[in-house]
Amino acid sequence: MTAPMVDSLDMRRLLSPIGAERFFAEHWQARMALLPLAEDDLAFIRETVGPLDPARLAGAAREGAQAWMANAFVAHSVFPINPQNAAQFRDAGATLYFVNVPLPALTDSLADFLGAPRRKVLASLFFTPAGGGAVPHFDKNENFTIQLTGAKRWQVGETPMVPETPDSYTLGSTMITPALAPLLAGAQRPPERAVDLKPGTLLYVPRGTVHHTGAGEPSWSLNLSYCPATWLELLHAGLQERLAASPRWRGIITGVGGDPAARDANRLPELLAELRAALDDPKEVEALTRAFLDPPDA
Amino acid sequence: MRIAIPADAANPFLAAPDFEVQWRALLKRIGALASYPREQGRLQHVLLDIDAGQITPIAEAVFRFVGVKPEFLPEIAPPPYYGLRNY
Repeated sequence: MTAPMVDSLDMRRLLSPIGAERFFAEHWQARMALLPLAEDDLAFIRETVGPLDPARLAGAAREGAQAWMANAFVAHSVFPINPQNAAQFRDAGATLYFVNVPLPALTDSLADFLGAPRRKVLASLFFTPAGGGAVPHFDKNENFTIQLTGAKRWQVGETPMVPETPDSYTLGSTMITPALAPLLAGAQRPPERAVDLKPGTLLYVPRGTVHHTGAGEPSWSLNLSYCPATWLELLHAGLQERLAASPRWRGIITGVGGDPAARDANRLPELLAELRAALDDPKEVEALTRAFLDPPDA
Repeated sequence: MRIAIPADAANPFLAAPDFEVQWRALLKRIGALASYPREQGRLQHVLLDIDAGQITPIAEAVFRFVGVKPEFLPEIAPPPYYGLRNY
């Protein structure tokens, strides 16, 4: 195999069949997208991922690796796996899931393209055996899946069932988080579309979009997922860091009601005025954003 | 391994007169280290020490005997530094 001509993941180029502007206007968080990759881009991604060896990947996965098994005799079971037994589970017909494999050449490029915190974009790998797949579910992450080898059929909702979902959910499950329950109550399952992923296909699935998969042959796929960071988190973390440096903001609450003498100690009006001034200052807002995107320990 | 056996009204396997004998024979055959029956035996937790290749054959043996698919709940052995010494 010759070395790929591409030396970085250029998301603009990957999205060129529809265009980055159209992607953000029509698809981002709203509608699935299916894109063919150029040969050089696929070659770069494959080279960056390296050998698709279960033992190696189980050792590399920062958040561990799992084997999922379900067949005519075994009810769905999840096993933690390690470099010593990963290949055994593959040979036993399990789906293998390697969570958070460090591939900064891919994840940082995607994060930088999205303008998202790098630490929130993770790479995971799936090995699906022939006949394997996933039941209908939706994820809480924005997912970009790149088929590396083999083929897999996806049934994907055209749009999210629960837009901006706070949590993942397997349809039919009784395990529903309190945050998700009210959103799920009135949700309708949108029409689905069958898409066949073959090596070099990129599929974008917004969070909250129902999908299920089946592989007719052994399949490896790469999942680049953005575990969403919300604007609320940005503001909360940024203000917490900035205001905690101020002795006035670290002051204790006094004079909210209470004795008239204590009311003189109520600093809230002047603190809110200070906060308003800070939020009106573009430099302060830029600093809040930067501190969240590039924390000192990142 | 967890096996949730339906009540005997719905499951003829449980009604067999020699069910207990056969069940114990099955546990021996699959190499069970221990078993923990609950709810009159309808919920069985069976402790096994097996490798990946034995999962489906053992599940098949159980399925053919009681007619339900077992679920495997792997026990995570704590890392050695969680021992009782050297704190």
